[in-house]
Amino acid sequence: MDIDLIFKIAAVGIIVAVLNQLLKRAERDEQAMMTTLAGLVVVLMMVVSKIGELFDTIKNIFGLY
Amino acid sequence: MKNILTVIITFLMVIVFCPHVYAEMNNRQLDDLKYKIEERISSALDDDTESELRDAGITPTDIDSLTGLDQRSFFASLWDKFTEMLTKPLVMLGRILAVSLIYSAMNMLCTENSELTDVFGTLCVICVVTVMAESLSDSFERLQNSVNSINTFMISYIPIFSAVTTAGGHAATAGVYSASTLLVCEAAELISSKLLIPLLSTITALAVVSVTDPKLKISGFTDALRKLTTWLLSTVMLVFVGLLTIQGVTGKAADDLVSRTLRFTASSFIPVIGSSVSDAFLAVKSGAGVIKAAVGGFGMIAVFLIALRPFMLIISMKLTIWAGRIANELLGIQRTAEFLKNINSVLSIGLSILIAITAAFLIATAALMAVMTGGG
Amino acid sequence: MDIIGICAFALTAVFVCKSVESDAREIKLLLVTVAAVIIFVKAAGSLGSIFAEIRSLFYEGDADPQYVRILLKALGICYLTDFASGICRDSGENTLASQTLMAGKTALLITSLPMLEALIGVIKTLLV
Repeated sequence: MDIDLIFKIAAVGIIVAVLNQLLKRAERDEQAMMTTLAGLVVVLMMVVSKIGELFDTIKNIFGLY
Repeated sequence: MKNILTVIITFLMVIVFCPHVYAEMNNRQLDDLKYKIEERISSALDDDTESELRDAGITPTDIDSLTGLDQRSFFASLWDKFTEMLTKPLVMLGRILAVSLIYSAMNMLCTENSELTDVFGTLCVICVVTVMAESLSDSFERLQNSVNSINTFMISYIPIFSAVTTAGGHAATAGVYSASTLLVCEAAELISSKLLIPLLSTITALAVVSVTDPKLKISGFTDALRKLTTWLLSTVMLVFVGLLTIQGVTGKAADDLVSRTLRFTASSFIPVIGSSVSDAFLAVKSGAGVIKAAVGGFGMIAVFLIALRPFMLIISMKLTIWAGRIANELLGIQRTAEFLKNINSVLSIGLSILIAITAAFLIATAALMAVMTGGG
Repeated sequence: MDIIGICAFALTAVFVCKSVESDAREIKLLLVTVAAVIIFVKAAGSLGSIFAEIRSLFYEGDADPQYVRILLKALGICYLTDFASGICRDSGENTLASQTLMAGKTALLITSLPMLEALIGVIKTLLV
């Protein structure tokens, strides 16, 4: 269900935030940045299919292209 | 000697009066005359009107077909034609409503106060304009065609009617009739060729332009033009009808005088057969009067039918445009509502010109027929 | 289309958004986008049937149905541009939002070019 997706994204976000804080405390800033980026990429991959669905729906309803 | 003189004078009188008085028209000549009248008048009509008249069984020379016209079936056929004509404007109304719905869908989907909504609103109005353009130019063309048809018909009809009237003994009224109606013909032709279509098209083009620019408002201008046209046309019609009636009455008086003089002279100065000559003159006048009534009634119905089709078309278009305007005022596109109002005014102007020309002909013919009834 | 489900979903998304906001702002942006997308996709089904009705209103009789196609395309462009620029504005990038709007307006005009040509043709026939 779609609500699960939201919770998954939220979970990834919280994990990334926690890891960020930990790594900053441990003074590994680049790794902190890497984790943030990695979290972003993971979420994006989860999300991209939904955005594709959005464009497909708009194409079908409005007859674009 | 006196007897011979009397006989010679009698013969002279008979020879003088014979070309004007037939004791009995030859039946074959009468039918021939009727056929010729019918042929000339029908050739002046266009095909649609001719087929309609033939379906209703109305001929120019048979007065029973006119008196036997059934009112209820006439109105029923009129209603049928009107509903048939209503289909195309209704399709146009459906399209206008569809565009309004799309506009309200957009208001629903996009956030308010965006410039996108303005551009989209302009697009919607442009769509309405292009949807209506075809129907509009079609109705303008039909209007012009019908004014031209009325013109052509009357140009052939007036001489025939005047000739029949003169043969019935009303020469002065016939002269009045042909002079005034030919004047109306000329005015109608001038209007239809130089004035009608250019005026209506220009105002429509202005309305289309004012759609794209909200600051340019021509609704006041079109309203004023409509009121001016109506006022001008009613004044001209008033003067025309008044003049015609006065001239008709005096013409009838003149004709009556001539006819009575003739009959008095005939009955007094023709010794033996004088009274029967004057009665025969009266009979011929009434006989010609029947033909004249039939021809006059036919002419009126023909003009009415020619004018009826564009009249109904324009009325149905005005109805649908009015409905579309109400819907647009409710759904919120002010520019479309104003455009539709302008188009309504333009159609009103065209319609009033058509009604004025038709009414001029009908009133002229009817007034002179009414004035001319009654024996002399 | 379940309006109650959609409203509940929207509220949940808002709460989740707020909880990740302080920690991971980029995630929050993606979250908002996804939630909006899901809500629209859910509602879009019925929108399709409305547009089918409108199309059938337009199609009665013969003659050009291309106008309604152009209008519906324009509506889609409007909506999509508005969605994208709204997300841009939400995340604070007003310039991006205005540029998207401008691109949207240009796309609208390009899509409606046939109709503008038809309009100019109408004015020409009227004035000829």
